[in-house]
Amino acid sequence: MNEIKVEYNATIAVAIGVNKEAFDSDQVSTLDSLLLAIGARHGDRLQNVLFDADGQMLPSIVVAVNDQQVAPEAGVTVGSGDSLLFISAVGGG
Amino acid sequence: MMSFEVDQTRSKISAFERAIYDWQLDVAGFGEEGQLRLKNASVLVSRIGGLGGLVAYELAAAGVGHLILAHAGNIQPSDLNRQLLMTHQRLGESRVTTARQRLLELNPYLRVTTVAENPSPENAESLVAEADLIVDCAPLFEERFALNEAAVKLRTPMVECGMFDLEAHVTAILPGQTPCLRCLYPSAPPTWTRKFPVFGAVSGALGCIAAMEAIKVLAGFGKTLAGRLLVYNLRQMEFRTVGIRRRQSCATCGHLFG
Repeated sequence: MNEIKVEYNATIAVAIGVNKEAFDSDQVSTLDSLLLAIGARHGDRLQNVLFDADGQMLPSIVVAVNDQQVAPEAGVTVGSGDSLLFISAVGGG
Repeated sequence: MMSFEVDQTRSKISAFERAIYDWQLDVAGFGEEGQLRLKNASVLVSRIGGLGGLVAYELAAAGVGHLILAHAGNIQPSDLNRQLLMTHQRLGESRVTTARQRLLELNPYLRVTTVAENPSPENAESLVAEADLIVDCAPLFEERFALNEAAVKLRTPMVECGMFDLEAHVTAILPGQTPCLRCLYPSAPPTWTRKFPVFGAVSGALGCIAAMEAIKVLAGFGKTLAGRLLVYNLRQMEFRTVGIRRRQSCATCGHLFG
């Protein structure tokens, strides 16, 4: 399978029980389609952790593609071999 | 025989100070110039719990001249797994007063200003006004955003660090040059609460990293985390840095785009 590697941190990883997984790049070619695939795989467990009640990604999430933050609103494309990291803000002091 | 005196003019390092800091003066790129910068620096540490307490301790040990400690309230039993400046003997007593005493035991030449308040939109600017650098160790995003706004307004560098469970983040915010906290997170995570899972070893490790970052920014050496977010997970022992970006529409620092 042509893979897109996806990693999650903190509250996202706790909510879904994994911090790494892969998606098929034949099925996913943009960040938007990847978010749909993530939502379909994990369902309601991501509400208020990755998505808001309307299914939009929370503004408190930083998305990095190959260790560079991207602007989700800018129409990000992804492909085989890419590594994505969804970073949920942590504020413990 | 060496005189056990520090130079009070703050314009030089005495022989006694040179002896105290002998092992770090040899760090490449640091030297006496770096030590003098630390000696003349004021750092706001907010708050001084599991994370900020370690930051304050390391900065005091390294010879930062003035620490401003902001933290409300008294020591609780639930502080003691990680707040290493606090002690069983002082349960129920003021956190900042206890921290001040512990820090002065380590470095009696340190100047410590205590503020028995947590940062808020009302006091953030006055707290930041006296500081050359902030280390943000608050457990609530409301406090973090208040400090961030004051840091941007006063153009004060801020080491931003936070943790959850066995994970942590650190970056160095240089207002006008790097993303600020609002660039990274335009709003707080909706499920965040003041209580979070943590070991003292996690806050201690992060406190040491944040203190080192503060020392580098103040003394002007090494490669800081300006424009980069260090993200690590001690459960897997994985560390990585992510390039982060300013947000032109940022409500706090967008006006600084030139």
